[in-house]
Formats: sequence, C-alpha cells, structure tokens
Amino acid sequence: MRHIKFIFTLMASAILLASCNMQKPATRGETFEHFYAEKPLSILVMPPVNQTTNVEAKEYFYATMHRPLANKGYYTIPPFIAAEILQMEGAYDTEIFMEQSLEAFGTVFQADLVLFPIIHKWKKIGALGEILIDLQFIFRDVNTGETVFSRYGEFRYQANTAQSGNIFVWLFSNVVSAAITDYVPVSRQCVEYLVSDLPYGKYHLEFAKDANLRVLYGEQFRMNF
Amino acid sequence: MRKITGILILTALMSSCAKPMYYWGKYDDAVYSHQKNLDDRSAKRLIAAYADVVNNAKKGQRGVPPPGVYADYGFFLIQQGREKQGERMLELEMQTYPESAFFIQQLLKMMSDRVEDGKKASR
Repeated sequence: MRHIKFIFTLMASAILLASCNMQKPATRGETFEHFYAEKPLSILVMPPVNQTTNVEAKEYFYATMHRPLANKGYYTIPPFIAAEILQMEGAYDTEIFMEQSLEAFGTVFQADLVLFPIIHKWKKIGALGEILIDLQFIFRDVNTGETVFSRYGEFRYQANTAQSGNIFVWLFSNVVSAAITDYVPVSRQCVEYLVSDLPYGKYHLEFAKDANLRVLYGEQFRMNF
Repeated sequence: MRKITGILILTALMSSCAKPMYYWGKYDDAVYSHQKNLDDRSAKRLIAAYADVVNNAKKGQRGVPPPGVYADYGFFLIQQGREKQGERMLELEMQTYPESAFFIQQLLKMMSDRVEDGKKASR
C-alpha cells in the first residue's frame, strides 16, 4: 500500500512539474513591443505582392484588408486614394519597396506603418471547393524602415462541410457550393486571423489596455476553417 | 442559483447584441468589384455602397463611418464631376480623422496640378 501511495505521489509531482515547465503563450506586450512603445495609428496598406498564378487573389485581399485593421482601431489610408497617389508618384509596384527606405511614404502619407502583404499560395484542390492559402503580413516602421512584426498564415478553407446521409447529395451540394463560393469573405477571414491578436489601436475602446492578453498565434501558424 | 443563471444568460444576450465598431454594409464586395472591373457600373455600385455606409454610420459603436470611407467617397464624387459634394466628404474625413488631413491636401494639390498641366497642354 505504501508503495502505491509513493508511486502516486511521484506521478502527481511529475505532472505538476511538467505543467510548471510548459511555457505560457507570450503576452501582446511582449510580442508587439513596438506597438506599445510607439503607438502607431495610421497604416498604409500596400497592394499585395501576388506570388500565385491566381490573378484575382490580389484584388480579393486588397479589398478586404482595411476592414479588419480598422476594426482593431487603426486608421488605414483609404485604398483608392492610396492607389491614386502611389501611381502619381510612380510607386505602384510593391515589390520595389519591400527592402527600400520608406521615408517617402512618411512624406506623402504621414503614415506610421506600412503593411506589405504577400500572397504565397492560392491553390484549389479537387472539385469540392477546398483552397489552400498562404498569406504573410510584414509591418514596417515608416521612419526607421525596421520590420516591427511579421506573421505567416497557412489556411485551409473548405467550402461546405455540411454532412448528409447520402454520399451523392453530399458530393453534389459540395460541388455546387464550390462553384458559387464568394472569395471576398474567405479572404477577409484569412486577414482577420492574421491580425486577430494585434494590439488595439487608438480608435478602439480597449486601446492601451490589452498588453497582458495572450497572443493567439505565433509568427507562423496553420488554420482550417 | 436561478439568479446567477439569469444574470449569465442576460450577460450572454447583451454581449451578442453588442454593436460592431463600424457599420460596413457591402463595402468589401463593392471595393473588390470596382478594383476588378474599373467600369462605370462598378463605380456607381461603389458610390452607392459608400453612401450606405455614411448614412448608416450610427449603427456602429463609434457612430461615424470607418476610416477612409468619407475620403474615398469624396474622391469618387469629384471624379464624377460632383466637386462640391466630394469636397464636403473630404472635409468630413479630415474632421473625423485628423491624421488624414495631410495626405488629403496632398491629393487635392496633385489633382489641381494635373488639371493645370492639362490646361497648359491644350493651349
């Protein structure tokens, strides 16, 4: 009996020790140091760099990036005015500015951050409306040019996961829903995952009150939806 | 126990009824459609979407249109020859979001320079 008690105590201690060693996810304050120190407000969202063969992917994402960022409390430079000014300045090609100084953007837009979105993958699988999307966000400080945050999301979207007792009904409904999928909300959902735990900006009621919240994802993560 | 359950249900109901930060209407779809098509039809659809967002702004928690909506709306109205209405929208953007004042003034200057250059070229 004594032996059993001893083994039990030993096992309980081991479990406790193991749980103490498990790292807690980092806080927003630790992950987004620059955001809490500099309190950026305005963000210039660049037209996405599209590394895929789907030409429409660029429009899907450029149309859906402002809303999630604005909902987090940031001011996003309006997309059509931004595109007009960038074109007037001969600066519509995002790739050119990926590694260059961003001072010119500070002079023209007075933005605090520039967001460079890169679409690495947009791949449809089969006829059932499954899509693999890889999207990366790189936030750079306009004044220093420093990358202040980068995150890479690998997404798997299934058009219709509704179950049916009849395999043919299920197959047919999936093929139909795949054909009529609206990719605007799908793209927005990817963006929302990427910025979901970004610190709140000035226009959000929780601005500067969220540094102790835990971050939801790392620099690279996978998500099925 | 009943009281606690009641409070919990009420809290859940209240949180589910919480207003979103901004009213967006069909903003994303209209922006996508115009970026893709760049024609009169998509421009009209976009202007209607902006008008809807501006008119229903009170449905959002902040009670104002989201950042950039007044500005892009004004920009399109000016392009369509509705200068006064467009300039009013740009003013509203600058009042609602003061950080926009700088680039809006830059845009207005660039646009007036372009008009002047066009006039000079046609002389």
